[in-house]
Amino acid sequence: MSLSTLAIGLVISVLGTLVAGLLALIPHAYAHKASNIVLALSAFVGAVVGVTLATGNGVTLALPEALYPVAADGATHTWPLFYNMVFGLDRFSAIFYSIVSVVTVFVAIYAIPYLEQQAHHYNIRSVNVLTALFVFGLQGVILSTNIIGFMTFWEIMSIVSFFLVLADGSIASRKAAFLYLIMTHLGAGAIMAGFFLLSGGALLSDFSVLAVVTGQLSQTTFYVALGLLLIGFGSKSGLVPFHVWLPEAYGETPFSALALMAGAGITIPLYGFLRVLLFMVPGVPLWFSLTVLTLGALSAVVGVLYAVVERDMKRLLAYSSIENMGLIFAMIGVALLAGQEGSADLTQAALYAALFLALAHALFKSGLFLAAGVAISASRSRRLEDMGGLARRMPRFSAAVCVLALTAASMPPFGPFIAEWTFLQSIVGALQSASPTLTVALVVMLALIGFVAGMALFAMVKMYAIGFLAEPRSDAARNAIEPGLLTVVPIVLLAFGGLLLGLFAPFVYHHIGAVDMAVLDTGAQQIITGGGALAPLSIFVLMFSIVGVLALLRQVFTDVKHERVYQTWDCGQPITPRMEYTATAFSAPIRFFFRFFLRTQKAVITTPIVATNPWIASKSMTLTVRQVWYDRMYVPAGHLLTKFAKFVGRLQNGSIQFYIGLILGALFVTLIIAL
Amino acid sequence: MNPILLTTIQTVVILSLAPLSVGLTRFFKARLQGRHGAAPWLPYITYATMLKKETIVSASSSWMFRVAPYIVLSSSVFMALVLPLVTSGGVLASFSNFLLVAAVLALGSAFLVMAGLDVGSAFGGMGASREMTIASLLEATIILTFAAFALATGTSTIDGMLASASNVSIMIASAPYLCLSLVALILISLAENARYPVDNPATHLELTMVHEAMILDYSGPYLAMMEYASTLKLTVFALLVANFVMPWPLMTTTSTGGSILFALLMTLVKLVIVLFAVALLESTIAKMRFYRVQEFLTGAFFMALTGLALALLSQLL
Repeated sequence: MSLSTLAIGLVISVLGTLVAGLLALIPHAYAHKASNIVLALSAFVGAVVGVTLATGNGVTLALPEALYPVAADGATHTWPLFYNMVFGLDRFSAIFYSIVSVVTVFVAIYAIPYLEQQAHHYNIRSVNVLTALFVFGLQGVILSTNIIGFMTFWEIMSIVSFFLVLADGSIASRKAAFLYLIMTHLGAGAIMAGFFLLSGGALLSDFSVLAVVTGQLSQTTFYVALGLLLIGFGSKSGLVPFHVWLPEAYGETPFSALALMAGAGITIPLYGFLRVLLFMVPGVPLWFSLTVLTLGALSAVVGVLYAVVERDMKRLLAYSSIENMGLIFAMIGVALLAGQEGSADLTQAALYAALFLALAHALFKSGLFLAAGVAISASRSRRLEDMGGLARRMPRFSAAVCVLALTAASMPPFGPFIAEWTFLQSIVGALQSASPTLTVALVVMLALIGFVAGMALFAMVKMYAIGFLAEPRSDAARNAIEPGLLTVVPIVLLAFGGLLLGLFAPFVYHHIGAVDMAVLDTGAQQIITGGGALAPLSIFVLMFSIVGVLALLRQVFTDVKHERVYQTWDCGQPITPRMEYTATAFSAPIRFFFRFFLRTQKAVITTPIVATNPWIASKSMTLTVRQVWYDRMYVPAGHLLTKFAKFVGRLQNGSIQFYIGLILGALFVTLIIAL
Repeated sequence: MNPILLTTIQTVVILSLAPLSVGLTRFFKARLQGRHGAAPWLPYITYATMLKKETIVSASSSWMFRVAPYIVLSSSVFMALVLPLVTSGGVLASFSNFLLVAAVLALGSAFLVMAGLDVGSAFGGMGASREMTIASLLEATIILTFAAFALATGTSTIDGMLASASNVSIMIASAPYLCLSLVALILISLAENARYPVDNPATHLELTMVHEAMILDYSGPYLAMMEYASTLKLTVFALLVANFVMPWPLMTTTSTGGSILFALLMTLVKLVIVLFAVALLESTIAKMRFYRVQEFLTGAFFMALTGLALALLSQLL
């Protein structure tokens, strides 16, 4: 495709998003469908453009220049919009543009039946408008090539998602939304300040100019800017300890929008962070890489442990997002550290693994949230303890969810496994010749990632087995029916996406060499790194053929005709859902093993029914999971703020003279500073 | 010898020896405990009987109940195909990357756990919860243990690790710190195979069982598949540990007449020695209370970590 065709496609994808938003405003029964269809189609165009550029030979698409034929006199074109701003996609941002577009396609299709079904709960029109605007914000952030554009679209994205969290208007959602608003704006403020420090206060500086200016900064300014950017981008990605907003906000957002936020939205801060690190700053200090690594590892461990003990499906998946973002940041941290310590191969491989995990995470997490939407509306509860039995009632749908859950647990041969394999294998390879600092970091990484991978499997198996298998635990779950095609197809396709991404990982790795790094040593069939090789497609073929041969043997040599259905053996009594293992019980060993960290509090209340026999009693158990961050960080900070506000409140004593005196004082101070 | 032939020989030998290994363990255990015990080849007859029997499917279960046995058994067969057990340098040797093997093991455990929960009884759920805990906490230990071997031998496939250390006594002599990793490997094998002190494979008592609890509701061919998968896993781990500990060479592409016979014979000898050791262990120590298993797992973890740390230190010096 020629550059101008791609440019037109890009414009169509952005304008289409806006048109979808406008269509949603029309008060007509078909507006909802039309809006989502337009959104899906324009996002599809966007996906084609993004994938073409990401897999292309490294051309950069700059708007508006690319729309015009090359002028003979070399004249350039500008649009009188936003101070002649230039928008563009290079190979690196094209990866993220593809992620956003692909996820949007599936979410828009899913939204058609989902929102109609939820009409009593949400205002469909506003959710549609907000979703389209959110996508517009995501596209804008990626396309921006300067600070003001980036920050403007960042704000559009943040404010729109604030309203999305607020969508059902409940008290819980209001609380979550304000927490989100505060956290996201503290983050945005930090990013803005960081950018200004890097650019020396110039609002309109282009990112490419910024790269030059940054080299001339004083060390202190540079360090402060880096710290601010890490806090800003890190808090938006849900890194511990800035993650508190994430489970709350994810818990309240409608699923169609949530899949977009959790799949595509969460990769945007990652994009910003990598954009700064790889293209703008000349090299980071040691403390910075160690901080990134530590924050990432901490988030991965904390996220996965809370995911294991969480019993609310939405929040479980939210914690899994914290875990995955933690892993990605840990990979970036290792890449930075390895770069400083002279292990260039590891830098490359870790960055590739981070990008690949981001790709895979976008696919499986949006798929899982879409699936959670189906499971939760079928069982009318977010608690895993009220689900169960969905696999028997909805076999097609639940098979897709099983695949997604295994993908999220990084099982072979799905995408996330390849990312973790690449990372761990490269670490093992790099250990041979690593410097002492790096060696310590790498050994810790090996142990931690192994732990996180194991726990992630625990969390995902728990989610799937308790939520979907065995007897239904509620009447609603008992009457669940297989969802319609428009709902299932996006989920199935996202599950396939995770599989295909894994199988064709060598190809994908080959093409995300966007960062001008030498391409990882990948043949057409296998990934080679750190002295190990992995051929995902052959692994899949081998595993598949083993299963196939077994199935064939079973058909030929054993009795498949005679089969009896009988109740589960339970010491002679009939089995009821109340006897099933619950999510709480399932994760009990982990809660016990990590009780020093998780600080769960269990309270059992026993009320005797028969006065003479204390053993015949009704028991109720409550389990609360305390969060260290709330108790130690946010609550004290809140107290401090309230105290300060009370102190400041004393100024507001209602006397006009005093206020005028204050104004005069302020004027004096200003004059002294100004002169 | 042709690599394809090597893999074929190994597959045939392992798949046919597998039932014997669980029979032998039970036989040794019975003799050590002063009982007469059943013949070691009883499992062959048991499995053959099960295959002919009618299948009973739990009314509470879903498609997972039928799919799980295939995946669980496939995971064990995968190990039997790719790991260096009887032969080294087979055609599938490149699949024995330790990270992949660890992940395939975990995949098998995951499906076993889901099958355990699918029937809806508290027995299955309890076993599932325990199995999942053990399998997921072992992941890091497996990675660290094999990372130490990978570092010492300079290769990441388990096949390569054994091939480069054709004489294990030399490997241990030149890298004595690997002893710690070997101990970790043995602890991993005990936990993975639900043996003492983590699980008691001989009971059907809810307080003690892990593996048995999950497959309580299986019958007929499905039960045969589940049981065979676990005995296959036992065989694989027994031979893997034996190959890391005992110095007799495996069959390779360069083996000829005499050494082929020797390797085959030694396979049987190794299996008998390891299984006898397992039976001895199970007759002399007590099973751990489940909530104390974390100490066992933590011990294995630090053993593996120390092994890796010493391997790295020795490289620096």
